[in-house]
Amino acid sequence: MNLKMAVDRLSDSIKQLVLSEPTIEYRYVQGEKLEHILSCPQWAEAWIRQSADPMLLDVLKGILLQFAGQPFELEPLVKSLEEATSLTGAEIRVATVRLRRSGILHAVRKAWGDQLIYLPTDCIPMWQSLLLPVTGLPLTDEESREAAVNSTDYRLPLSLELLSAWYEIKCRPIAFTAKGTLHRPAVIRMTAAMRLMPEELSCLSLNYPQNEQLPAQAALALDLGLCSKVLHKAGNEIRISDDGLKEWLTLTPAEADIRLHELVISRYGSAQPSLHLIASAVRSLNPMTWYREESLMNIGTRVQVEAVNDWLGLLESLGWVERGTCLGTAVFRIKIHLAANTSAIVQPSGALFVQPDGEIFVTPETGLMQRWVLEEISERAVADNLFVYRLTLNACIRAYNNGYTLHSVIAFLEQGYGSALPEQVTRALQDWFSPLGKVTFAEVTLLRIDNPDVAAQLMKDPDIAVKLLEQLGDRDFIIEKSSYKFLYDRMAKAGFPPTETYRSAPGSHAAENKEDEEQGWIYRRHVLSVYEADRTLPGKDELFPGMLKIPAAWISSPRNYHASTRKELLQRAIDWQASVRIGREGQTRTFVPKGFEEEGSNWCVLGRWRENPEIGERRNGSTIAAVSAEEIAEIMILLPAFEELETN
Amino acid sequence: MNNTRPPLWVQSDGTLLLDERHPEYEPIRNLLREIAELHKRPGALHTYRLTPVTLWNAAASGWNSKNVIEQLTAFSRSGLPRALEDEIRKQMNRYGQIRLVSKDGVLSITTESSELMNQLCEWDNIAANFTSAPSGNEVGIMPEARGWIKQELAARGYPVMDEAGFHKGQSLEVSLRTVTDSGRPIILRDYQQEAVDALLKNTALDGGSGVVVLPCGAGKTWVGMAALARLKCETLILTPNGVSVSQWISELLKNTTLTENEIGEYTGQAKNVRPVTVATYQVLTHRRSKEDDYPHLQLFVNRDWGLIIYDEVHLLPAPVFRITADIQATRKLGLTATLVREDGREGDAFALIGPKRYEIPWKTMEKQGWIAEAACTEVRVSLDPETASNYFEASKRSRHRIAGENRRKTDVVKALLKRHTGIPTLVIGQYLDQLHELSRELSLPLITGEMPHRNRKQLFERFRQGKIGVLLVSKVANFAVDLPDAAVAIQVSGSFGSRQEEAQRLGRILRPKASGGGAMFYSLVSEGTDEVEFSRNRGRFLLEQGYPYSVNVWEQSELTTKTEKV
Repeated sequence: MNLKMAVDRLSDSIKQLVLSEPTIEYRYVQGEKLEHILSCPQWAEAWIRQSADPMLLDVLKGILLQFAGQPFELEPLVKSLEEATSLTGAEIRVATVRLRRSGILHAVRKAWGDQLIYLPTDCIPMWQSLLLPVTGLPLTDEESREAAVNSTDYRLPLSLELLSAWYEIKCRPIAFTAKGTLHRPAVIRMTAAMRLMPEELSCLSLNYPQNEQLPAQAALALDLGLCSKVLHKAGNEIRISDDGLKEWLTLTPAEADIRLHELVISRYGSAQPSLHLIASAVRSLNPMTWYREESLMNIGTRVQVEAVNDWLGLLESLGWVERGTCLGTAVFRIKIHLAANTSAIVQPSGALFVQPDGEIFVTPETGLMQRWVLEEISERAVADNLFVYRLTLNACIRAYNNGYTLHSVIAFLEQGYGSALPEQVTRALQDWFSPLGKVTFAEVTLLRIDNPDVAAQLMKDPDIAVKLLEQLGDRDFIIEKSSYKFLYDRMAKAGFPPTETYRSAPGSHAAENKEDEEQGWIYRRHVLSVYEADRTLPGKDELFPGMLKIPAAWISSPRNYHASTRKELLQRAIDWQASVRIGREGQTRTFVPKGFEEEGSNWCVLGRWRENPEIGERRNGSTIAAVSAEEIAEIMILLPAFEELETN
Repeated sequence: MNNTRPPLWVQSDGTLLLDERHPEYEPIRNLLREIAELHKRPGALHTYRLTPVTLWNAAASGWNSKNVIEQLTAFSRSGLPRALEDEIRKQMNRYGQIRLVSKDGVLSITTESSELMNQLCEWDNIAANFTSAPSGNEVGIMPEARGWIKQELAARGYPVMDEAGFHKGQSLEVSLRTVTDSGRPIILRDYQQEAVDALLKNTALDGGSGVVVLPCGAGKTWVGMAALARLKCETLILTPNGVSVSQWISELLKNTTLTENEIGEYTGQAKNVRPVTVATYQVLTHRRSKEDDYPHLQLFVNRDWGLIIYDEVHLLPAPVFRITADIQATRKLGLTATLVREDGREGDAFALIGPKRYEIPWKTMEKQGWIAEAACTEVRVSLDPETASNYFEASKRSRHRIAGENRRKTDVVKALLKRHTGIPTLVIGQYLDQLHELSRELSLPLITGEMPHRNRKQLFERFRQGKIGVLLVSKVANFAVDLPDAAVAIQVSGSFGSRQEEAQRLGRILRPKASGGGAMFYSLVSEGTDEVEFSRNRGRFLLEQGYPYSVNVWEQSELTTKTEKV
């Protein structure tokens, strides 16, 4: 789920708490929207500086590494962070709540009450770049000169690859067969327009309907088309959505690639936390700058070579990244901006070069709208760095059927070309368009009269006569569709009530299924939108059950207790996954109890010492320590600060 | 196009697009001329292609992959795709990796590495021609396999650098004259001299054999005659047709010291084999039945030729390729206006004739005044109502002829002849009936394939002498007919869409004119018929060579331009 959806689903009470966070409040009162604040890297930096503490940041880093944008339950988080860090379960649980209060984490409740917590998928890049940044420096200019790109087949950026595939769907929508599968020839036609191969998507482990018949690249084209609303399911077929397409075509290829990149991360990359983190890390890098691949492996201990290789391989196949070697080291560079940065996006300055032989050369910067029109009025001959289209007779026929005229085609080409077309091209277009439209099949409304006499009689009525557009033979007339009702009534009044055979044309568009579009074609592991938002934050007693029943001193200052009380206190700490402060021989140390070992009436508590807590050392000892009851002089339970958690 | 950015676009498949409007156009054009083939230049963007053969040719001219990659990268707007870079490196580095050498009369192949020799040994059909097992990176080959091995390895992507040298052939005392009989001095043009030098340089290594690419009208015959005079050896000249044979003989007699006794014609009409023999491809590939051998291919071996000239080498038929493979010790000169073969066998020409040694583009010649500037005009002529009705009802096959023979074209021819009165004009057509009709109606002499060669020669000669101002010709005049003073060509009908035909016909009028004026090429096309599309296809080739058509519409007995701006 993305941040906007998460914020929209916040309960009022939680939202108020979030807004009371000082770094947020400051911006909110200045008129910024909450979702903007929470997605703003400057706010995140301020929050880290002013509101976060090491514990909070460790938990957030742990979530990033372990789950990234995947929803998780609390216990697995506690378990993994307890193993990987010195944090106690109590600290982790409190930190989780504090992160929710800061609007960073969000939660939903499944139908049976289980809680799922998540970081909004679109926030991962921001937190990754702040907490787990790529540490390796880019290659120097000198090193970059030594970088040699790997030899691979040329790949179009995904925006252009999909445009061709979607245009195929425009020409021939993909229908569902009686068995509910997609019409195979239409799928083949669409994939024929793509260079992407199924094996190049294997690292994503895509799971989707009809995956035995439908190649992965086709599923990807459908999924991204549906999610970006360029395609929609209408009736029994998947076809172009006119409105969605119109909006999409306003983008430059660069803008479209940024959107697609976000979708690729959020829909497919986010399913695997390691891929998601690498994807975010790659996104944060500068385009056309070489980096060592190993620099991506330093962003977290869980990131593996394989995941780096998988993600970079995928981006290479999608035409966004080049990989190579530099002095024996694997390197890569991003070919285009993958992160939205409006100042960096080159506005379309692409030009069409119309050659006298009717070929049109299209530069890489050319906008999607121009490219789509070219698909409609000409034949694509080459899809490469430069696209080449060809004006032909057949293309003109297609253009005419798409609603273009000689005038509009010439006007479009001249605008793109920036001057008058070569004479040969104009002449050819004139030749090809001149016979078009001379003959047309049309559906008209026919008024059929039984015999010429009645026809003649009716035509004497001037009000009727004026509605008869054209006479065919001596008893048939073409009428305006809109005149139907008038003529019906008039005929009836004249004593010739018409036989009712007229039927209005069926609606051209079957009902659209908006939900299907959002869901796309490819299954997602967790669709959080189906769950209810968790409307409350847990209180003290929920976090630490029984807190109200224990003596206040247990959590306020170390004291000497009777052995049985010591044990009871320790048991409570174990239940709460909290640490204890133990004083003995004049020293105070922090201990994380995990269980007891008993022998008759004697017992000792097992756990780990936290080393040098006085100086902030938060690592746990590596060995299990056993502390007997006698060794404990003074003791108290250490709970993380949670006053500010008071919520409801 | 923005002039601050480089003018070259490089596509991943090796297609190169160059903007001629850019200030850096010239140097890049010169680079591409060396390493790529010009595919077309219909407008400001010129399309070149890098192919294995063009890269081998570049390597043969002294280029290396590093230079090529560096220069292309420097001029390219979007960089060089790595796969293409690798392809350039691979193909260019391959040139010279396999050499064919001769030691003490024994032919052998040497390879740059033992891996490559192992590779050759793994190809059974190649290894079958070895005389023994390889010794290191060298292996002897059977002398008769010289051409075949080169051809086969080229087909497998490995060019062979043939350094085995050529035998001199029977010597022949011949040189270019200094002046013609009419007293005109005989001096080779710069580019003709350069072409001969390029062909014969490095004769100790792989030089001495190869292809010279010159546009129609550039005087390819002169390059052939100069090579012959330089090498001074018995020479076989192969041309596409009988008229061309006559013209070669005529030029040889006029411009060299050869006498009639030293020049033989080997055609359907005459079979004279002399120290310099001029033959047609047609006679060489003639045989009684498909099962028979080609008896006339003996011509290649029944004299000790020191040079074989292949005129219009892009038309070389397959059997001639085969015999050419067997005579690799003989020097060969291919002459052509284009390396592009309709059958795609450019690799065979490279392996068996040799690399491209010299090329000068059409438009450069025009700019330098070596060929005339030409204006091409398509004239649209409507059908009369009766013919239009016939056309509409006719079968698809008959329609082309009805459109081609449109009677109204006669009026246009008359008007054009009137407009260009006094200027030598060719009227060229596809259909003999139409040409005969025109001949009758306009009282003009007509040359067709039916006419005996002697009569044709006479008419061509009279035309050259200015005694005939207008000549009607059928497609016999498409190739290798030298009519230097023809300045206007009117094409009344053409074949369906042969992209070569229009260019060849235009080539007839491209010789520089004594008057210094340009040439006019008219193509008459029946409006509203399939001929418009066929003409467009034919004209596209010219357009691609940089000769744009303007389109006029014939109306009311005059040529007016009907503009149809919308």
